[in-house]
Amino acid sequence: MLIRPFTVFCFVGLLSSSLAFAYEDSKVMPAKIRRLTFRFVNTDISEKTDGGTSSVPLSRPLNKALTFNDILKGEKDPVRHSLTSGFLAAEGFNPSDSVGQFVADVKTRVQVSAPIFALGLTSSTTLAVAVPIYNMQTAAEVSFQANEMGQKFVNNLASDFNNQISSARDAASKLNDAVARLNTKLVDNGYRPLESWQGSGLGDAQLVMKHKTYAEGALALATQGVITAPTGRVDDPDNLLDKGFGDGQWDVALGATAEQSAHGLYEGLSLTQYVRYTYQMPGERTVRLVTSSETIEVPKQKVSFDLGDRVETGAAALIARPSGWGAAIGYNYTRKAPDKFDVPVETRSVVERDTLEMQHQAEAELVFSGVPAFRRGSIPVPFELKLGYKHQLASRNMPVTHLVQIDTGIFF
Amino acid sequence: MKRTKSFFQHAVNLMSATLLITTALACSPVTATKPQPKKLSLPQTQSGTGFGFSGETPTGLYRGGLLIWSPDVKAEQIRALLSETRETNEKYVALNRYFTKFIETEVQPLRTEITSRQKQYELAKADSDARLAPLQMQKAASWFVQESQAIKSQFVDFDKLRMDGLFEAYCEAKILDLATRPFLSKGEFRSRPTPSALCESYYRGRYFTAESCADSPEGRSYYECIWNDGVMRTRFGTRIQVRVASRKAGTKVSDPLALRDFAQFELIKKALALEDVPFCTASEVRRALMSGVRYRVLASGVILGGLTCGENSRFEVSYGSGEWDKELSASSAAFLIDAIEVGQGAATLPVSFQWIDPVVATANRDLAGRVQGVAAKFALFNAPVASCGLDFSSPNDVFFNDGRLARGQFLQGQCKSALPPLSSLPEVIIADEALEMQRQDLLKLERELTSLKGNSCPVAPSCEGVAAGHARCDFLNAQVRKAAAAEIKGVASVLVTDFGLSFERVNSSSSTAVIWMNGAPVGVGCVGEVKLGNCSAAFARPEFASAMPVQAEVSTDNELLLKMKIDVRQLAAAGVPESVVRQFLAFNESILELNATSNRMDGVVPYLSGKAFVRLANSANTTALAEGSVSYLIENSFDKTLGEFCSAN
Repeated sequence: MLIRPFTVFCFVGLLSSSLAFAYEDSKVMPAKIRRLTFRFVNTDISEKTDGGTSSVPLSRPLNKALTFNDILKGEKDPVRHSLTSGFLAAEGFNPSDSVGQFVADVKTRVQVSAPIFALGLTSSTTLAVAVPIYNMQTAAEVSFQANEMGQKFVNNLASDFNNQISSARDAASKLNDAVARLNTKLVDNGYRPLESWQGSGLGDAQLVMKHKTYAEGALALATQGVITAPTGRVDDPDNLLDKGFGDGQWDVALGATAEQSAHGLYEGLSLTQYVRYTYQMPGERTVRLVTSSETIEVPKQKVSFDLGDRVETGAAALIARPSGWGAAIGYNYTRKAPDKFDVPVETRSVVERDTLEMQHQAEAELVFSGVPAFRRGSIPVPFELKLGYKHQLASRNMPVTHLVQIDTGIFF
Repeated sequence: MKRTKSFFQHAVNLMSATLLITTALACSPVTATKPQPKKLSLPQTQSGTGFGFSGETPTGLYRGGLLIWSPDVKAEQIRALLSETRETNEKYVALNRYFTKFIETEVQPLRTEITSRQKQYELAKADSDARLAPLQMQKAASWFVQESQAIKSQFVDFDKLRMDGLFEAYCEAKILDLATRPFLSKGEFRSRPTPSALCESYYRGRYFTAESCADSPEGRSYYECIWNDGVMRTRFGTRIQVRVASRKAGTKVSDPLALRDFAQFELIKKALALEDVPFCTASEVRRALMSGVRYRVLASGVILGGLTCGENSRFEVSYGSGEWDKELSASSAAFLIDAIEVGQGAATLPVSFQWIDPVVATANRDLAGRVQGVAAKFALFNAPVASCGLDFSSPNDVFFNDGRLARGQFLQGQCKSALPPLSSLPEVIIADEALEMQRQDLLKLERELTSLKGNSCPVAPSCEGVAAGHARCDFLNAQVRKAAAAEIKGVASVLVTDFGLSFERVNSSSSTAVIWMNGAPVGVGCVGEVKLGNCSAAFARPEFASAMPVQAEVSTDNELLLKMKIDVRQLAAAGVPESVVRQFLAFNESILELNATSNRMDGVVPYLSGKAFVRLANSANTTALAEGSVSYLIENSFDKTLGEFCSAN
């Protein structure tokens, strides 16, 4: 079965589901103050985790064995089908025997640039809008590695007893040229060939409302609402190596963040915890009706789907010094429920498989805020710089990815 | 305002710096490593086409079968058919392996021994010839003088002169004969080869006196000697004219050149030698020259005809007008040379033989009888040796045998032991007993080889018309059984069990390919190199009048691709039985495409096998209407390999 490497992976997960803010805290913007932030995220991906949290190469779905059954399936002429099938039976080959394996190497780089505009509506409410721009490269190299069974098949054709030299040469040539033939088959069925791909475009835009709900003494509590609009490029069903920059439907998320100041322990130290629930609304998308036995010669169809809801939670320790320097370390956990597709049952088992996602992440951040210096009159413009790193500790059905994130923001 | 401007300037600078940093982090393109592919090894096909192109395959019929699968054929039927025919395949393979092993273990060692002994014998004979040739030549010349004097003493003066004249003309013709033999330009000799031992006394002082004709202990070519100091000084050399033209249409033929002008050494070499001109050109030029000498020698000014053999040029040879030896009658000269060259014995000498005046011959029958007897000895002495090739068809080859060749050189052919003509003339034989013993040993080994082959023929079931034990029969049985199995299984929509392919009239550059069904020629095409097209009128043959045109080519993998339009009317007209024709009704007007490869298994018997397709005629759609298989036993190869062992049975 040939399936797409990114079948279970949505890039929305690359970024926090709340694009507008980095670390979750209870801070809001002062009234009438605006902030323009540019966020840059970069990551290279060559592995992902399977349903059992083991990491596997991103190319694994392409590493497909070619069996006699596959060969027979590709033979549309009934006479030739009978000839091949009869020959296999006469020579004692098992139709499920493999004659070789497609072997691939797939590497992906994803870069996201997201301008984020935030506005302090009131002293306790901040509104933010983020529109991410994705740039993705997927490099893929595919080879076919014939095995001893394949050679035996050719040798038997050419053997003294069968003496089908011409057919043997024909078969050997076809198997040696299996990658080109696979690409031809893909193209014949409306797919893009297995070649490196590069694409860029908008991701899903987000509108975030954050409200400082409670602030008493050292404890502060903020609530958050997020609406994600399906502005992003969705997955191309004809491209096995691309991935959508958006998931094609509206999301609504609600969250709460509690921040406990720990000035007593250390000046500028605070501890935060947050939790967020994202409801992914149903949507429609064109998909290939792949089955466990056929993934190429399948029709496309617009189908309804309902992606699993996401729950995120995490905790962090933040330090903000009067000089403007700050730092943070934290941990977060994400879990997404399995997706549901309104497709025939033989397709459902494929497209819904391995869609439950889970991730544990550790993160660290270094911050320099120019606001104190601005207040002192040392700099003409209040700004903020953040350099973050997110390290994936464990995951399930997620790309193995460690993110470098740079935020640059100015206040005005 | 100024403050706002400054603000945005700083903002832009800050963003730009960040963008630069991030771009630098990730600007290199992401690359994947191509996994090492593992390829299947392809079965090797035979080198050379093996399909009768370029004259590489002998003529003959390749018998086989054609099967077009039924569109309803099921895998199980195929499996059952393959299983049933497996036994016959195994038998055939076993047969192959048996002969392969037999050749390796029994025949080849003996062949190697014979080859080794042959070389030893050739060296010994070369030494013997070198030692004995001058003595032999002297003895033969003495014998000839003695015998001819005995005849001449009986002649009247006119006949004596005529005999001398005839003999001189013959001796000069022999110079041209030798000069135009292909080997002369290539062979290196240690002394001048003689055009005719009998004529050496005539040549002495008249010909071959130049430096180029002197002995050379190291060996050298005597080509220049024979032409410049031989041919050019004969009565023929002064009269022969040669015209040259390109074979391209519309090219003008050159003005006649005197042989002396034409025969600038390099030009002659180019015209006659093998290294620069295709063999056929050289041999054809030679044939024309010699036929002129033989038959038109006295007919002044007769153009002998054009030669079209060769790649790019043709030659026309003629004799310039001029006086000839009036005292020699054309018929006498021609007959003399012919009689001697073709070895007509005494018993067959025709009455037109006129060495003596008919009046005298009539009056003195005893004399005529004696003259005829001696002439018969000359003829016998000069008789060609059976199985000699072109190089050695001359009766006097025994006198320019390999004993005169430079060391390490051997002329091909079996004429190196060309003693039989002399053996019937004990007066001139100088025997070398040691050499003869060596020859007898060699003959004994060759007899052992023949005996070995005869005993090795396997016992196989008999076929109708073929004796038991004939290996070919065994294979044909297997083919028939396969066909019968296919018929029983009902897997074929077309099944022709007598489906043949032959390449006929094969020469160095072309042949005629014929497709046969049940002994009837149903398709014919003419082969030129690796392309097959319609036969021109020149190649058309009446017996193929009903055959359809066949086109074909050979791929780089030595795959033969034959295409023929199916026309059931023509099939019937060609003589194909109705029961066979009926099978093609559904495919009438379609193209029958035969795609075959010459296979060589690990045995010794190759055959053609491959696929057959029926396709729509004149259609861009190349999808086959039906598909099948075709196989041909290369019967010639069979005969050549197995037949060499078994044909005696």
